[in-house]
Amino acid sequence: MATRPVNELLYDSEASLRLVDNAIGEFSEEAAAIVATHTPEPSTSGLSALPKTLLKAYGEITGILDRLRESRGILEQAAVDKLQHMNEKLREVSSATELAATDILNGLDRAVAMVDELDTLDDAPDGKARGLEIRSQMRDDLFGLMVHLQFQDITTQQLAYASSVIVDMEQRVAQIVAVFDPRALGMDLPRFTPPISSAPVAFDPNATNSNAANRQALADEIFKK
Amino acid sequence: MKFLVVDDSVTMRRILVNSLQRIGYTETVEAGDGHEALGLFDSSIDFVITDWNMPNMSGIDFARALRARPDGKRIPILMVTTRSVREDIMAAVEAGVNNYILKPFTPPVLKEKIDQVLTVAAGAAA
Repeated sequence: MATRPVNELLYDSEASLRLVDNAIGEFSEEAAAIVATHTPEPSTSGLSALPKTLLKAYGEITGILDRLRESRGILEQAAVDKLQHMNEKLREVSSATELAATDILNGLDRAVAMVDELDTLDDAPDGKARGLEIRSQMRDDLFGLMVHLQFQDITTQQLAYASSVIVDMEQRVAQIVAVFDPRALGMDLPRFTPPISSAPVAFDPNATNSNAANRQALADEIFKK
Repeated sequence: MKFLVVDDSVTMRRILVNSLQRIGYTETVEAGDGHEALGLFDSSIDFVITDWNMPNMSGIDFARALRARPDGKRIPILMVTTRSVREDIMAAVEAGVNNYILKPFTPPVLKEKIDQVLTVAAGAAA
């Protein structure tokens, strides 16, 4: 399913809020004119109290609009960029995992084929020499598989970064809920509880499996100076 | 030659130790963070390979702490990390790191960097 970009949604919501604000402003002016031109009846009930009620409602709605703007600010503050970066990292985790799994499976296929060939060499005239060659090749291939497992360290850091963004978002949502003051409606204020981690985590938010050669070239250039 | 291998990832430590063995360096000591590594460091260590992002004490703080010790001033330090931002690499230079490898590394690159560091160290000692 196609999703709209976050920036577009924020822009639309801002525009909608502005329209509502204008409409209420116009309505407020009309209501104030009615109050000014009509002497209020002694009774506070019925149609005569309507302008005052509407003005009170206007005040409430304006307050809500201010809170909505405030909550938009809380969400917008670095959140959009962070979520997009997190999304990229999660996609990278997915593709790195798949790539590593494919490479490891290919390596295992080659290793199995080499073992099969070793089985056929017993009676071959050049069996010993070929056997040595295959064993050496297999050793290199198996070692190569081990080196592929570095992806695990990198994806662990990418997932730790994603987890930290989720915790940050949770804090922001708790702040937004607090802005609307649910206690005024008789509801408890939800409390943000940081996740309990079994061990301290250190991670590089930019950890990546890609562009290894380019990144190494930059480090080499700096260390040459 | 004895290597001190410092990384919080057990997988990475195994890969590094196996790679070192494959290129002929069989004597290794392992630590899970900079703090533990400082405790293990002594005059028997000839070469340090460290990660950057680790809990308790990072690799960059470990390198600085090592350089501040009389017995750690000349020890070769090779950093193996994911941190590829220019400012980070510059910070590693300033902390006294001798060379830098970006993860994921290949064993030939590891050998090349170790050789480079040892050649420079031998030149400086001569």
